[in-house]
Amino acid sequence: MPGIRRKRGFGRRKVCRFCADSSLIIDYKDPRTLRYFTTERGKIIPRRISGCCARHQRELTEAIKRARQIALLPFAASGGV
Amino acid sequence: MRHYETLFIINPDLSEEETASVVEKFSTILTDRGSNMVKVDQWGRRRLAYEVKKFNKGFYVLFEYGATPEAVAEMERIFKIDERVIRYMTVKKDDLFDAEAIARAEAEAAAKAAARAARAESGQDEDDDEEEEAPRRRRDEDDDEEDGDEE
Repeated sequence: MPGIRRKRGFGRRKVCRFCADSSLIIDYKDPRTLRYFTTERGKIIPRRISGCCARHQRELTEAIKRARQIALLPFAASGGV
Repeated sequence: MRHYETLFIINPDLSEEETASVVEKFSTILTDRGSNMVKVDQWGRRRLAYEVKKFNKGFYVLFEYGATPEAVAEMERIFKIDERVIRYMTVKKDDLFDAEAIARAEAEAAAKAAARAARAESGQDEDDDEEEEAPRRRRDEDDDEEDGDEE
């Protein structure tokens, strides 16, 4: 049954993509990468979903908040939803 | 000397000369106080993620430099006064400024970026406000057989 497949105790944790790929740097000046870690509403995606390790999630959060200050990312997107 | 980076946004409606003069003005403020400019990067006009002082676009300029905290404070003071600058942000990158190390890091980063660009060759175009819908939500759906607790 295809529907029930989702229901599983623990899926294997996805590895942190920043750990997996060292060429990928977290930078507040790079909104394209950061966008991937925000919802379409502009919220930061939590670690349990993004799969980031603690360290990188922390850096990511910082970068997203900086990007918001300088209008590279929205605090809250009005359109879209 | 500390290693700083300042990103600021200039009124997008200014003429080219005027924009250049703003950039010039602020880099002079820094260099007059013994700062060492590493990079002046004019990103050009970009869409802002939200409205700032009634503007929807802005001319982004990035400075990377080594300076004393006093020089930065002075520049920020003038940022506040100058109405042509609509937003600014200074980030301290390091407590020590070492021009040589920065040049080295820069070269390394460039190499990495090139490698990444080569890998991501599969045609993503350079536009700032496309909500690329990414497969972000369901991280746990990639089928892995190991955890055998499905019915």
